[in-house]
Amino acid sequence: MKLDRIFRENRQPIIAALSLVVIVILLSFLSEYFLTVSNLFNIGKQASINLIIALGMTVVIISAGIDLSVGSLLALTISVTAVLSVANGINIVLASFIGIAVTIVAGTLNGIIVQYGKVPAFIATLGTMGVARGVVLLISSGHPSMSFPAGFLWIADGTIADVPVPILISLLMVIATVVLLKYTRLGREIYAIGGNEEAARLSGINIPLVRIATYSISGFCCALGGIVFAARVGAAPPSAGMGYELNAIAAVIIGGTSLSGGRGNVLGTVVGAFLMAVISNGLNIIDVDPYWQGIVIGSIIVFAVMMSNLRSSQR
Amino acid sequence: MESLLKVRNVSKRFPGVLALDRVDFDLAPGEVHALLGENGAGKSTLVKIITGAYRMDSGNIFVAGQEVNFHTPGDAQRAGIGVIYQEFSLVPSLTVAENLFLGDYPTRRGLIDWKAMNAAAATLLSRFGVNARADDVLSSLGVATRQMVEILKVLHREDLKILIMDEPTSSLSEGEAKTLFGFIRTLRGQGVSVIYISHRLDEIKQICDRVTVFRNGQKVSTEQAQDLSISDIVTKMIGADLAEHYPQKCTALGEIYLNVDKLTGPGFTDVSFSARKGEVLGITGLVGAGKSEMVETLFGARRFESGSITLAGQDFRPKTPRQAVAKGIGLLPESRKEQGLVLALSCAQNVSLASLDKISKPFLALGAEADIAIDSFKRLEIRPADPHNRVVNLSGGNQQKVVLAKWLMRDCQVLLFDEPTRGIDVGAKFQIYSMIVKLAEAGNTVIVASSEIEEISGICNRALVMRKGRLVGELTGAGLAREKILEAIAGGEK
Repeated sequence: MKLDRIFRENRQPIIAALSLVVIVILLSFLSEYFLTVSNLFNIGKQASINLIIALGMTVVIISAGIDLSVGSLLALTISVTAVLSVANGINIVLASFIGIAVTIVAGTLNGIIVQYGKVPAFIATLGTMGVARGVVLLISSGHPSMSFPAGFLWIADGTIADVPVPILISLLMVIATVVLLKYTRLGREIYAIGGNEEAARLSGINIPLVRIATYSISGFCCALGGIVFAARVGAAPPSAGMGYELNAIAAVIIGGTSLSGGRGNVLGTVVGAFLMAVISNGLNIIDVDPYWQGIVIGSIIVFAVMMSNLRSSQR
Repeated sequence: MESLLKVRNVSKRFPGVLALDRVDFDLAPGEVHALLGENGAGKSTLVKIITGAYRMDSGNIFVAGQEVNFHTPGDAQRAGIGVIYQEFSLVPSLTVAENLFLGDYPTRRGLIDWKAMNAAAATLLSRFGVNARADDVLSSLGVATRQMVEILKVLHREDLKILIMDEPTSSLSEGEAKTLFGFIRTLRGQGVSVIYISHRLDEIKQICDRVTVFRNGQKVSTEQAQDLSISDIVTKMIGADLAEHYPQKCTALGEIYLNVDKLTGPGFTDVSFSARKGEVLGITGLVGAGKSEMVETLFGARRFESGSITLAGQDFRPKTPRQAVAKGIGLLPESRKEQGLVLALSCAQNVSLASLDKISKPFLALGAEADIAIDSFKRLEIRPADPHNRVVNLSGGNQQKVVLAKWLMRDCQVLLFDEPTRGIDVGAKFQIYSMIVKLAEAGNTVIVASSEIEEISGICNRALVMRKGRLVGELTGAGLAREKILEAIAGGEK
């Protein structure tokens, strides 16, 4: 009975997880290199930035919001950090923290606009997506090539106990998000306002605080993703993170989180992010034209949602 | 007379439950036939089979002597069976005519023929005496009128022979319901047979010719409505004699706990009253009289403009529900699905929704949460008593009890109930009544806003009557007899 319910209520993440397993098996036959430790770490590193951003996106989407500004916010962290440290000689650690803080403030601003400005999340974050990108271009103009110090690159290249640091960071974030959503009051309130804001309000839940918190959390995730990105690239390209909002939303949706809010879980998002990374890595390894990646991932998004909806409307 | 609809030996099994057990049912031409039973008795299942939404496992259905086997709702519609659900399927921003012909607009040379459409709509409206114009925008009309438009929409397609109405009056006031009954009589006069489902038993005798009662998936009986009293019907529905439906009222009233002085806000004007500890205070009146606005204002969900509220001797100006909850006030709102519950969450998660501070230490104590839920399920007889079940899977009555459980967990001193038993079955109704009285006995202040005269009469120590936003009367003792309340509510309007 209990198992039955778990299957019934998590149909889509389970379908996604099964697809992931099938694809992994398929690829391991197609290429003997695919299922090696070094390639798996590779996939983990590839998935990490999208996964970190998608965790914040999961939180926002469960609250029935959306955050289109994540790619621009990621770039904001990178350029603020770069301008401070590379161009102005501020210590890189301090600069990173300032970059992260600025991005959290920007995320919080998203929440304030949505909550108090009564602007639909889609529009508000579409606006901040443009504004943040503009700020990035402004502050990094005149600094055509900013490269980070070698020590900073450890965040992307280093290992702890043989495990790459980006994988550890995303693992920590996954655990933190699971705890947040499942085991804290704030997490429960996020589900409640996403599921039925009016009922949540009439239960005495502090709607403004909860809503703004979701966007601050998303901002924090973007900032962290930005640091990993900067360390990986070693520079601060103003175009960083373009199109990342769609990848993050795709991972969340493949993982079964409902765009209408109130439902969803972190493990689904993890599966979604890995599914995308495995496909892109796998197609690379078996030497398929990279243009195919978009076609395959796009089809999988539609297919996953279709499967889940077809089954749930049956009697 | 030959039956228009004949159901023979129909059975339907769902996983774990026999929803219909070899049921027979007959509908005569031009009759209004009530289908009664508690939630889960099988009446909705039967309706869904008749309308093609479910397939029966075994049995036969005949319409006008012809055996039918509907696979889809479209099949049933083509056979002249229409159904009106509780939830409206109309588009509020379109006109009456546009709604009536939605999806099959009359056209001329490929374009919509507005003239013909409006004329056809006007004819339809006047034929059935509906007080609306073809070009009225739907959202500008009252609920009862919208409901009639909804019925006309079904009616004018094909030649409707059978109309099924599921709780048509649950959102109507007494006056609006009367208008709807007149409309149903017109339908009957035009030869349409009506299957009428309602939890408001007093209506049944007003409008129905025959009554069929279901219990646990079986038909109990079919009888002439005039031969049955309401308590006969209740007895058949719940299978036991509930002569003393209503719990004994609590009589030991304490000091004044809540005082409202000259309160004015959107929907009500210059309202003053006080409520004591241990008291069940009713607020009654027609829909739109300002009852909901009043209790929502006490709960901080609406702002008031002038006047004052005193709670436990202190000035109280709630700006948000959160502030009211912090002061020990709870509200069971009018609409449990839109305002009371988060349907995507489990039962336990809904119970704890207003008390998360109590189980946050600082991580949520999920075990304790489930235990508290199970405990309240026992007290309120919520079924199934599974804390992890999604609340959306429960019947209306059980859902309402979950909303009540939420406030029991909060441990409020003032409980506001807004239409607490709307659209729920008789058994759950009386469980909620007895819990209301128990809460008062424990020294809490309970305010029940309701347009159901029966329950105001049955559970309140005192009742305030509102009309058009003003307090127009106060009833106590013998004044709480049903006729007196009805008189006070309808007052000057007759």
